[in-house]
Amino acid sequence: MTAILSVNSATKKFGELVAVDNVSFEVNEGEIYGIAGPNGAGKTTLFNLITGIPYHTDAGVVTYRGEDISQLSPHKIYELGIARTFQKETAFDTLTVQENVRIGAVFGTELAVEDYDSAVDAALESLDLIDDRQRLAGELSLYAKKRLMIASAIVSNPNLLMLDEPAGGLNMAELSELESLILRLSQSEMTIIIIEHVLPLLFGVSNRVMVMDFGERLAEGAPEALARDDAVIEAYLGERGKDAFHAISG
Amino acid sequence: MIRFVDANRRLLALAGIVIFLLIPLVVENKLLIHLAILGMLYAIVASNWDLTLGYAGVFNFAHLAFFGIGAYTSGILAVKLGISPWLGIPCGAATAALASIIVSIPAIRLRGIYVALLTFACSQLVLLLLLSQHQITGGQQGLTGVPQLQIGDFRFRESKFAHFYLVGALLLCSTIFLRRLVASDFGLSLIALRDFEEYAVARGIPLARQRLLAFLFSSIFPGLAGGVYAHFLIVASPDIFGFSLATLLLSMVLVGGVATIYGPVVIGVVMTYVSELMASSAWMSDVFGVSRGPVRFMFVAVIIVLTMRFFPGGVWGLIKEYSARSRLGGATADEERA
Repeated sequence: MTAILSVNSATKKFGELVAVDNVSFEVNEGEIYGIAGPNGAGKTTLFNLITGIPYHTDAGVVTYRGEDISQLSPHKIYELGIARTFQKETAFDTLTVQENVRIGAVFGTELAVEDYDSAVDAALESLDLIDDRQRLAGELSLYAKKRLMIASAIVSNPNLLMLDEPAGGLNMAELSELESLILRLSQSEMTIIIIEHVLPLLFGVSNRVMVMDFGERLAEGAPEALARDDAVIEAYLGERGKDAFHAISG
Repeated sequence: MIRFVDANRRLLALAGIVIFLLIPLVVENKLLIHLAILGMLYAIVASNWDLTLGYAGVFNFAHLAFFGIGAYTSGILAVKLGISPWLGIPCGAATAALASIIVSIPAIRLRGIYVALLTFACSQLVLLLLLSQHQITGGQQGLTGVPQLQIGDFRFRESKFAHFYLVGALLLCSTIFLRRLVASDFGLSLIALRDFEEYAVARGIPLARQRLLAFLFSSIFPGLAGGVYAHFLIVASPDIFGFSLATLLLSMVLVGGVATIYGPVVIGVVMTYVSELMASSAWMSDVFGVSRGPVRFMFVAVIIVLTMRFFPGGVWGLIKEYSARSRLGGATADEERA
């Protein structure tokens, strides 16, 4: 297995608060790597450090395919083939759906000018947004906006796609669709890192999962092993919750 | 439906151009023609300000300095070095473009009020530099004796048409340039950076480069307009850098409608008439009991406040809203914005 991304001893402080504390992990080419943890564990901060938005690491090194990207500008990181989505549904609300995706195709990609339109159409088709192409992004529903964010990320055909809580606020049918979509994207040789609170989804799609708590890496491994890891259960449920969990599950 | 709308637009544009060409033939009053020329020059400056303020979301208070630099560069080249205005005017635009790059370098990574403060400081720096070099610039009195435009023996100031058509052509070129720019991928990137900077850079948009280019592109036509302005009025005055003119031009952008281009073009001309006619009529100052100058700027300030409160999209925003409502469902969002 070749590592596409290596994070070594990444640290980020905000005053006295250590948001990410000496975290290291590797993501292999083609895998789906999950990141879980309670609110405030430092998951999104870790995403921000990798993509340089809006800040870089205070210490530690982030390496993408052997290149140090720790202090690289965000648009340069995108040019290298790393695209991310955001926790909150995000779009350029005053632009159309088509224009939103076009931005992802035009800047920082190797696409030829004559291929922009077909790449945009393919991304819109893939996310079932083709009929909404002329609508303003600000008019879309939450799920459609989340799909738009993914469409504008995959239009550049990135090597590494980073999804920050894509399932937040979705209903069961939408979750099921999202799971299929993630698996479909993974089959197209895209490496995916996903932060998610919806653990059935996260554990269902991920090859490996890292659990964070208080900015530190708590555990890493196969989803089925982590589901029974005492430290992980305690991070989510507390000590009494862990005891109750064991009492219920036997 | 789309073809019908496009055909209507072309017809409207054609009718507008024909009416424009007929104006100096029909209008006898020289003051009205003079104000039209002044209004079109201000419209160029205001609509280019809309590129940075409206589309890029960057409050560039040095924008008027580009106009002033164009005026002084062309004026100084003509008065002190005897260089033809036809060469001096492009030199003014080039100097304004250079100034825009210098101003943009520290400004592009700042946000909000800090951009306004920094660019305002830059504008004042240029003014102080001009005032301090009075042997060259004329200091507080301004640079006088700027030659008028002429081609061979034909003097522009002696003709009713020449300045009008020259400035009209410049305004047309500037408007076409701006509309093409904002409709391009570059325009999309400016809107994206304005709407959500972090998301925009996450989609590969180089923030520093795009903002620098926005400053640069917004300076070229004001630089040209500044040169023409100096040769039209045969003087380059430090009043160009004053707060009064800045407020007037800002009102053209805000009342016309930010991020529309057409709004500041149309309202630029209208506001010039309103402002100048108020300055030359006595009744307003009699009513308010103050001199004429302050009254017109009070009026401009009130107009800005009322527009921001009741029509934040400006006049062009209202027209687009009305136009969108009157269409029968066939319009796309693209057309709405175009």
